[in-house]
Amino acid sequence: MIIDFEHRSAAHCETGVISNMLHFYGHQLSEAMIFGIGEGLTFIYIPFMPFKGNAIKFSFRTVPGSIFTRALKKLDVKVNIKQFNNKEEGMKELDNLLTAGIPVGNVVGLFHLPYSPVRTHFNAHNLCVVGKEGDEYIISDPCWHTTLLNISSQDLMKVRFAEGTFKPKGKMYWIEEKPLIGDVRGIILKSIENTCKKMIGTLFVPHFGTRAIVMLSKRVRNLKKRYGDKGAMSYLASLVQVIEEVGTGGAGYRYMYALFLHEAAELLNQPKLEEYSSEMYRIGDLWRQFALECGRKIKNRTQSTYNDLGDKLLEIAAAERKFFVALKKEKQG
Amino acid sequence: MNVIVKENAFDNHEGQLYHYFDGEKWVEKWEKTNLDVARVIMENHLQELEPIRNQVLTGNLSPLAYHIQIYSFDLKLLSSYTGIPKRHIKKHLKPKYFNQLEKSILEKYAFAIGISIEELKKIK
Repeated sequence: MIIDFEHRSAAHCETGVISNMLHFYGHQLSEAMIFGIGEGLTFIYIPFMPFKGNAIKFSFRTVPGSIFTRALKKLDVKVNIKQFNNKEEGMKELDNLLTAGIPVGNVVGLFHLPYSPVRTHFNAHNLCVVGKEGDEYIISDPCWHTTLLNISSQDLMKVRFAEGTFKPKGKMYWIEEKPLIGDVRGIILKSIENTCKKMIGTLFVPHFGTRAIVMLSKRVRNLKKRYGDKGAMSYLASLVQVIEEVGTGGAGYRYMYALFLHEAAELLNQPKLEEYSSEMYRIGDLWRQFALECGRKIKNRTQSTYNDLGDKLLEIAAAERKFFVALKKEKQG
Repeated sequence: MNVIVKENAFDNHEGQLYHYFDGEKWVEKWEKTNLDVARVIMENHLQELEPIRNQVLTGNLSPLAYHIQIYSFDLKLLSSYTGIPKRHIKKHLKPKYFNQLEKSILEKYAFAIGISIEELKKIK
């Protein structure tokens, strides 16, 4: 039995699944729009946290799950979230929902996922289960595949009940009744303002927002002194991974926010936002250039020193700060 | 982040979707993820494991100790996957006890790490 579910690919798992689920109920909200409304854009750097498994040391988006709750709360969509202690019970509940014809979003771990290219203990990947055929489930994974996939029920149980930090515990969510989404224009303005506040940051917490990028640049300058040659390389490598590979990659989130601003400009009929969109796009390019330079540094194919990398980060921090201060002023009139 | 890249990682994997602006309109484009950096991390990770590997080869540690390190498990994580108490796992890190293990317990370990029993018993 398969639900008639249109699979559309997306850059990011969480927003992609929400967008697809809303599309199933007849609402055309793009992935970028959900990302913007859910205030997903941020920068977090927590230096004293060990980088192991899915610890948040550097992050370019908010904590997994927060985009989902924020966006759907603002859009006034009724969702049901459930977690289980018993594995069989969790699978049974999923079957019941599927027979009722409801697509169910699931939070899964990456380590045991059969088609995942890497094995890491990251427990916040999202996918949508849309059908069951015999012993196999049919899933839609928007951020890694362009078509629907089959997965055996044993594998699905294993990934749904993965262990480690942030245990998913078979977490699943579904939309209870057909949502009525009215005018989103007011919500967009509010969420742009909140994102600006978050990025500019508060005075006493330098770990969030643009000031965290400045902090990171200081750390990058002293990498060699602190960790030695090899340690510095692996630090840079994990930074590049976060920028290029985890989720959509840090630069990918910047591109996505630029797309959100572009869509907002069309919806609100404010051509000024279009300029901000192209500026955000430029910042995304800066991040990618930085990652490229780091990659070259790791493979010993460049002359640039750690100080140069730090300068690049400072440039990005200045650009982002200028951008968000201007955007906040613009919104306040 | 200790990442182990699977051998045939990209046989049926599309890569990463990016939203690009090509001067006039927004387009979606799939891009193959460049796993060079992940490979560098993986090689570093494997090099760090060299002492443990030597200890396994000389018979001071059991292969389980190597598998725990290579897939970045720890005692707590493995214990919660298998249901075996941590102090028992600590015991199983010694070859003397590991070689006497029953098949049912080996199966539990193999299931948790995601490899077969034959792979669990030897190291690369």
